Amino acid sequence: MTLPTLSQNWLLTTNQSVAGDADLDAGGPSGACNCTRDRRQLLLELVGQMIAGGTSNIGPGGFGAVSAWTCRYSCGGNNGGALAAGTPGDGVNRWVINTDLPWNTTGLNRGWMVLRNANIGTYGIELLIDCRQGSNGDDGGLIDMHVGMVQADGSGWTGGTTSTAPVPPPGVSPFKDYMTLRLNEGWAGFANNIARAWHWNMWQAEDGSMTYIVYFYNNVVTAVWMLGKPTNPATSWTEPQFVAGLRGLNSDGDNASYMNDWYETAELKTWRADRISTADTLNRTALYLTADTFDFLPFNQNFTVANQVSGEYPLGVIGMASRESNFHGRMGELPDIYWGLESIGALPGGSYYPSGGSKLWFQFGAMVFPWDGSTAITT
Amino acid sequence: MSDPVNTKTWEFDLNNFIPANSATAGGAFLSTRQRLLGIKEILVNNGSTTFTTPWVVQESSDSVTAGGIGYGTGPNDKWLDSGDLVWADDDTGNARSWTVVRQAAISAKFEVLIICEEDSINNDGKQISLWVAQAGFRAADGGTDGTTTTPPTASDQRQIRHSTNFGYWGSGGANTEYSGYTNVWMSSDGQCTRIMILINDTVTGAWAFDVPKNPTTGWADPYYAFAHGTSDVTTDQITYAQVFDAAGVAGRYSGTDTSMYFSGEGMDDNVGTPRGIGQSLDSPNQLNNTYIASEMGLVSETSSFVGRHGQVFDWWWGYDFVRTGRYYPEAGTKTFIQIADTVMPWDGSTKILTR
Repeated sequence: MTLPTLSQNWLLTTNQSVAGDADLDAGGPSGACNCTRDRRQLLLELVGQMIAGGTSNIGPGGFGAVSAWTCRYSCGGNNGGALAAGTPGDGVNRWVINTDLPWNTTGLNRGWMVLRNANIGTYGIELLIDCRQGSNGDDGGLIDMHVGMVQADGSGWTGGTTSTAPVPPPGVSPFKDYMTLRLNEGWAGFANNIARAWHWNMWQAEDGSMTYIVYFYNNVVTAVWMLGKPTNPATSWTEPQFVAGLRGLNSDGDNASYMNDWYETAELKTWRADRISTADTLNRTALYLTADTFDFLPFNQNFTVANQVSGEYPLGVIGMASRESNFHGRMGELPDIYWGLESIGALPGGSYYPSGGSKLWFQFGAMVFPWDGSTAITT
Repeated sequence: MSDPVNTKTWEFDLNNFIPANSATAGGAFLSTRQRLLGIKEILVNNGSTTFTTPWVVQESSDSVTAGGIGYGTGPNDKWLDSGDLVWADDDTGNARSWTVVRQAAISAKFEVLIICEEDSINNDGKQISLWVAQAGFRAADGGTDGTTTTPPTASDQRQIRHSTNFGYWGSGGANTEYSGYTNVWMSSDGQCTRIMILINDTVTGAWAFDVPKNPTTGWADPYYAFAHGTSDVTTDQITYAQVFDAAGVAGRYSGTDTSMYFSGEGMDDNVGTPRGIGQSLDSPNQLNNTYIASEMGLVSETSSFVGRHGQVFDWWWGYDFVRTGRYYPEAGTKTFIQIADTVMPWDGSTKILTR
């Protein structure tokens, strides 16, 4: 098909390297870290780039500064010092170097971070990243992540110490406006004290409405993050129109078919429309990604070759729909990413569009993302 | 989602009632002969029909005389009343009726050949053969001329209904006759013609002869066609099962017959099977009470024609739990209507009759 055009300006941060390093840094600010240095470095860099934003570099033009995430408060070593927890709204990013964010089990000293995105919803969205894992043999491969709505008075996550994570503000049901994305679940591959070297990439919409993060290990898509607003949201979808997904296995990930898991299982999360339950799992609802489909498969699995008449490779809009109670229906689309033929997305290599030269789009697995013309590094 | 928007201007000939009459003559029930005659009459603007770009009869046979524009004797159109439609066994060379109608807006010589024949004559007329071609069904265009016992052929003919392979065309099941309604949609430019036969609250026949929207570059003189019919009066035609799950759409590319699907937005059905979004979702959108109208694409897995080859003009996938006859919007302008699993343009005023 004709190459798609971007609906908005994006900042791309591509091919960023994190060296493999299995050092646990025992004796760091927490006394015991329980996370390999490479995993801490990866999360440090991802959070740092989410905050840094930068200048848009692809899109329709009229570029300005990216409306990025901001640090609302955090718990960390603040450049090698003793682990300390901030206070809500102090704006201090205590994750400066990778020893600042130790991992630990429940009730023990660890790092956490509260990021705010004021560009989504009426008052904004907050993301809590908690370096907690179920047991100290997990070595940082598991994590907790929660999303919360900023309240009308500007409050959000509150409290938190070096050994406990922040909680929703007083008077707000912990489940009404808050939901869990990861709970002692994989985000960077299973650890076992084995070093992992990643290359990570980040797409930030200039208006701050969407953030995509993808990282590769050894020609495998380790994880995909999606945090932001759908395009063409269903009418009457109350604010915040926000979806979040983090597809990362506890193992080292998967390859080409991996991306279609978002089609086959409801990986994308949001809040149920009424949010009347007192249980997170009931207020949280799930969406499938949709695709042009026929003959019991999405087009990108049915077709394994380019169009035999035009020679072009098809791309398809990525929609989203939910089958959950009180949120049943087609709800919108993901901005500026597309389905591509699974047969040509395998790593190493993936595929670029156009196939030679400008590399405006890069496909890995079954999804096609805007690209900056560089050669993607996936191992 | 919002109601869809038509690309083309649509004209309609709706609710043409054919009462059940099982009197048998000419190898078929009377009302079945009337039903097939009625389709031809509507397509070519006989009677009260006023399509802007009607089809034109080229040649025909009433089983006594054959000929027309291309060859032979008598008027082009020999189907003047139901007595001119005579069914016969398809492989004995018996005299039978047939007609060739042309729609030059699809391509210069795009023609449909309808033959009143059955695998073994059942005296009900419930099966036919139906072919399409773009080169012309006559010797002067590279095919062969027809006679009363041998229908004409074309050099690029493509069979759509086959009397020897369940050629049911929409007049219901064998040996029983039914009352029903014939509805025809035609775009004012003549590029799209859709025929829906409704019997017993069921879409028993669904025919389409269309130019695709945004056809793949390199697909010369593109068209697609089908003429689905059921052998009963309870199985809807134009459903997900027929053209979304199966390659129930016919076409030609580079001298070769092709099969296509009508694709559409799909998702997992919660038990691990990708299906149409109108199948996987089982209620209107719970936030805004809107209904699905998902764009139909044209895709093929036929060797040398693999790929997505365009879309379908002004025809959408809907929910499979909605019955034929729901309007969109439900009151007021009634711009669209549910027909089996699909959503089609509607004239805004006529109440559809289904039984």
